Amino acid sequence: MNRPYFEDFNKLAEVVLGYRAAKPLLVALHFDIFTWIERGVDTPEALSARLILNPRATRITLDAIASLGYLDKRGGVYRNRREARRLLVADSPEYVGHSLKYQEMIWDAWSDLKHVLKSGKPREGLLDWIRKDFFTADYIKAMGDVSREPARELAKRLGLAKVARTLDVGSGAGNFSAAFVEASPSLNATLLDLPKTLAVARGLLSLHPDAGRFAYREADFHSDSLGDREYDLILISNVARVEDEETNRELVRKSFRALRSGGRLVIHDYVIRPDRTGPKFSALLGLHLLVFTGRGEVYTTVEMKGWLRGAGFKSVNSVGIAKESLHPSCAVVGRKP
Amino acid sequence: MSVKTFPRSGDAERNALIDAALGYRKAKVLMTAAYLELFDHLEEPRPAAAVARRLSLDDRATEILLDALAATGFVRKRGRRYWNTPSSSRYLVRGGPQYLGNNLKFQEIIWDAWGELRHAVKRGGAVRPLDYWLLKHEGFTEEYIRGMNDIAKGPARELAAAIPLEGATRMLDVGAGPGTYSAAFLKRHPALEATLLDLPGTLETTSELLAREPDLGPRVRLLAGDYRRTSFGVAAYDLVLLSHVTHDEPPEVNRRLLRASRRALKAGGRVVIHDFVVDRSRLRPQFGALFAVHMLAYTGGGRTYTAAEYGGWLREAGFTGISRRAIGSGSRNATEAISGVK
Repeated sequence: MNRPYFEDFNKLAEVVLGYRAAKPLLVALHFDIFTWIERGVDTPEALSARLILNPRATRITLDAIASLGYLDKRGGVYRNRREARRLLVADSPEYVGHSLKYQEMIWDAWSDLKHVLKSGKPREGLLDWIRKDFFTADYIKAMGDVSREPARELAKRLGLAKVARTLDVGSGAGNFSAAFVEASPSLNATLLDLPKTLAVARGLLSLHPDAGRFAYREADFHSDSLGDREYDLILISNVARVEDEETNRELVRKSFRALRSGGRLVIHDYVIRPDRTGPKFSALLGLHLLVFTGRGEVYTTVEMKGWLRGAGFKSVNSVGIAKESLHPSCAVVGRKP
Repeated sequence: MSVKTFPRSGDAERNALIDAALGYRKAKVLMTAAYLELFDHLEEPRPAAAVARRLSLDDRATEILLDALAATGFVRKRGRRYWNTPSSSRYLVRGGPQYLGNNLKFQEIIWDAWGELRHAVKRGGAVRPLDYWLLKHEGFTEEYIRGMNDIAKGPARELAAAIPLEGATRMLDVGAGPGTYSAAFLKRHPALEATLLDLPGTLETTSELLAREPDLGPRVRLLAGDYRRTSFGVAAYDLVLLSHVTHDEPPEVNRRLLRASRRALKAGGRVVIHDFVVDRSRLRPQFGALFAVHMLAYTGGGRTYTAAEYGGWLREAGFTGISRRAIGSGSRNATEAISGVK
């Protein structure tokens, strides 16, 4: 034997084990175990009593997570390591738990991948999920977790000093509007989304120091107008990828009508290379959208620019956001003459 | 909401966490493709539509899946055609000597059990045991058994080479599965005969696999039963092998298995436990810690155990001369052979 029989096999094994590493993390988050550990409920016995779990199963799950490097274990007591304290404890400013809790729910959608491959779409789509009460708040906050930072970067890149009124279409948790308001002292931001979603955003933004500069507009952007010559800037962020091309073109046309002359439309989303095999995050996201929405996809910047030019926008260009992160995105900008 | 400090985009810790939490997607893509035998159709460059047609799948969905496989390095793409990487050809195309697809198919089926992990953590064990999955997916038992065979060949050869068996004539393979381990021992020791104990359904597949090795046939006896209930016999064997059995069971059952093994051995005979072993902290190797969760997901009380636990059970059962030997060092799923003498 020239080389160990398991060398290439190991590479395969690593990928497969990806699910075994992911699931205990997601389950622990579901029960908020990291938050409880931070509060001193830090043994399998104490956690299982508090959360009504089986002690042995709890210990096995904690050991798995410790083996992945998120917990320290000493004499039967578990402590959050730095990464867990920063990212997985609920009152940390850098908490990404909502996003990961959403993944736990999405696991079931991914379970259906074989069916989606046969039929082309999932049995339940995103809108069905959003209608389930338990889903919306966590989903919206989940999207919020990962948008805080790109939102700030986008606000900086757009140069908002002279912008008076913005419209955030499909505003979700409202992080982009919040970043706009924080970047420009005279800016007023309107959030547009479904009623349940706006309720979540209102809750999150009610304690914002500039809460008075947010306006809320309940609408369904599929069927409602966005307005008539009212805004200096319209943002469509993290929306295009859950819709099909026809819907996106229509949204762009509606945005054109809703902008004042000289106003800008910004489509911000993940993009994919023309050959559609990278960046890796985008290619896998495309699959995720398939199992989860049935009709969304990750578009190329060329496609997006085409929508804008087709609707009459000029000076259409694009700028990369969060280039060094695991999930880089892109803002495609056009100006209404 | 106060203005907060946000991490830089290049935040390595956060990226690592998100990467870990999303690891299931990459796994699911690979496992699904293997289940559908998609790689069989990529030995020459083909467009997505051609693959979809051959597998009766939706065109657009197939293209998205293939792009994801290309993005994760399992297929190559140029223009609109896809084809296997050398590694995928070697491991993921049916019929090859190093095919691992059966194991991946098994992982794909077990995905649903993992989906119920939240409930298993509450209950203390799988909501639905392995039997449920065996019945739910037609042909699953066979995939499961063949899957075990795929990954056992290397370790079996190494284990057979590591166990001294001079003058041995009879061995008992408890929970023999596809019989990979017995086959390796039989090949190494021409005078040896093997009794393979396992469930009737399993032994059907074992038969088929052993039929490919006609010279072994006469030296193999299949004993259909349940190792938790079937008698092992008395003073009949030189070797009793418990390979990848103890991780499926709770401590009480393992203790019983070792007592039964001792009764079944001739004086001077050897019992060999071959399995994953974790250190005293139970955290290393990482594979072992995660495998314990795997047991939680679809067994009633399985786990990975420490060398101290195994040694303790052997001593309690009356074995002496207890020794340990590493198998497959450096492999992702390295194991140990822990043995005792009667």
